[in-house]
Amino acid sequence: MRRLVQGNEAMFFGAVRAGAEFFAGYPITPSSEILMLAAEHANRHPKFKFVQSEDEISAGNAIMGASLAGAKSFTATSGPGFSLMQEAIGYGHQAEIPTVIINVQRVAPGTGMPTMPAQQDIMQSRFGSSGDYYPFVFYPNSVAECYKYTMVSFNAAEESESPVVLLSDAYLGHLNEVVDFHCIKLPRAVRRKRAPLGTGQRLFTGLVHDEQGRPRTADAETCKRWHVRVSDLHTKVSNRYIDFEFQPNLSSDTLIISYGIVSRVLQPLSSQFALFRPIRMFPLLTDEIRRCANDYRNIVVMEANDGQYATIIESVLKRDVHRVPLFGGRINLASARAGLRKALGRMIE
Amino acid sequence: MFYEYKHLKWNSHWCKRCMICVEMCPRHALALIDDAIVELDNCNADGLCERFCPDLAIEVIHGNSKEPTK
Amino acid sequence: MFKDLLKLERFPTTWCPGCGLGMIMTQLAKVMDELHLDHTNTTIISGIGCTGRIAGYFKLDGVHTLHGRTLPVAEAIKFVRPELNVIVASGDGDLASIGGNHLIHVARRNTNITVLCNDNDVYGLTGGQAGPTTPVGTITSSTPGGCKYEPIDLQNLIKVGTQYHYAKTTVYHQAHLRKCIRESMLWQGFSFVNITGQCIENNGKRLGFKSAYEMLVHYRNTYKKAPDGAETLGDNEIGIIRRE
Repeated sequence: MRRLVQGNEAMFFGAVRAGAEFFAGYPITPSSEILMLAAEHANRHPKFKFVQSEDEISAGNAIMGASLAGAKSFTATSGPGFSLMQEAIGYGHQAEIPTVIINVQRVAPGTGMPTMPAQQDIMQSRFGSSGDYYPFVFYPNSVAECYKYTMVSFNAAEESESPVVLLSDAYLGHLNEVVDFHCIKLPRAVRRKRAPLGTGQRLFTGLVHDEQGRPRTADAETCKRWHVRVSDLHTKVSNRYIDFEFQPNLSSDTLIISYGIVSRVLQPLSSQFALFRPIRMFPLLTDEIRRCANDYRNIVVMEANDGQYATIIESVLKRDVHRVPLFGGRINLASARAGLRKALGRMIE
Repeated sequence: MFYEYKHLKWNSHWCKRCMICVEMCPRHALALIDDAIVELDNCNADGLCERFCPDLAIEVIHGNSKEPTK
Repeated sequence: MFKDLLKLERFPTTWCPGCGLGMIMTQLAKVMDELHLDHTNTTIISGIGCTGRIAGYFKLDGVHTLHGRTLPVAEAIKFVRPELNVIVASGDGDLASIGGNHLIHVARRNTNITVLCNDNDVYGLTGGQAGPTTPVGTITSSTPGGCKYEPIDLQNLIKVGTQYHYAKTTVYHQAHLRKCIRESMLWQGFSFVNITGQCIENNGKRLGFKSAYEMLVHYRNTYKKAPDGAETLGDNEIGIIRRE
């Protein structure tokens, strides 16, 4: 049945569809709708557990506990709350715990602009926690994709046994579009592999540990083995999640790389430029980006931050890119054209 | 690793020589000699050392205990 | 046999000679054995600090969390698996300083978990700094001039809701410690056991105790049982207070 659905709402229902049974969260604009939907859902469905945590630190840790106990778990927050959860995210990587953290981004840093969209947590979603870890991060650009990529995020979490970050933003989260959930093609939900707590004699710890869960805090070999095993696993899993959109345009000498809500706004420019849109932000779509960028003299990275993904693209392509940052939530075609004019030194239709 | 005395069994590998058993024994029946906990002559197997050892490193040999009921 | 609940193959334990944690571990194992708790019906959660290592010695599925975060993790586990017995074992700093906010709210939500707090007055693992329960005036490695602040009042913090279960005991009073653990585990609701235990290496020696035994004697001489039916525990009183 076709109906008007909000981006945040679509993410919530994607989580339910994926089999999520636990939500812990703290209200924060512009993600609070997800928390309120979770509360209502829990009221009607006893198997779905909801807790409004006292703070985001508690929520980030609660979803780890719930996952170990056997439930598919998730939380939803925005930049400041995402920062508070970073320690828990690192812990989830070290202890190999599947879970999903939705970050509906807003202008930062600090308290920023609570109601204005931004993409300022790209680096944080990759490097926000202490240590070397290899996260999966997805960023849809439509309400239908919000639904689909929530399912995809839960699947990637189960396959990689790690916390997956699902990005959104104040614009996308509050965007209303007509969708029919039944018509959205979804991958099948991946089932939980690991036995839950209360069945064995295992220790789940945030310390570096061996395959038996024994802390190994002075053993470099064990530490290195963990890194090799986990990064290999994530690389293998990433081969099943090659998610991007590429619109070539051989009459253009310029490829614009953008993602999330910015990519949506740039759609009318596809007649003048080639457009590349990563949906899987991390692990990097290195081969795909290189292949698609090959035919274009100019690469522009347009994003609602000060060049976070651009920096990464430059290291992938080993060449300079033009940066078009969009600040303060001003994400529209006019600013995009103005930014492109400045970057490329020519008029844009 | 296990040293069996008349009433007590001592685990030299688990014992950390913390001296709680030696100092706690009301009959001074234990001593640390040459890095070993040794049972002396007047042990009456009351089990205090076993009960207060944090490392489960000393116990009354099964059946000999005179531990009071709770 | 309580020793069947422990991973003896990992002994000797990581704790200092004379540390009270081995005693808490033993008494907990004894109570679990009495109550027929094992890996099929129980999980243990411990935090960061010396107490945090306790989960690794039990033959249970256990979680060794981030510093201060045992309570959100334990609470979530209990929500998802209400049939599991959830035991938290952590230290005074982990529970009442960095974890303090969670303590307030998980107690307020009255989640049915049992919390064992190893209260040794300091942050032991990091060298004996002052913590939330350090008595005023104590010299510690971060308060060389004596601790300036009053300790947190754990008893009144736990008594925040209409229902509560708070126990205070020491590692010296073994039968009483077992009683506190047992009754807390059987209580349907949030229960907190505040266990005074010795940190001889990073606290006691600095205070002038020559051995762990001297600290145990100090506990024997200092703490007295509260009168039956007491609604509040006085300073240096051991006992259990509860309200349905």
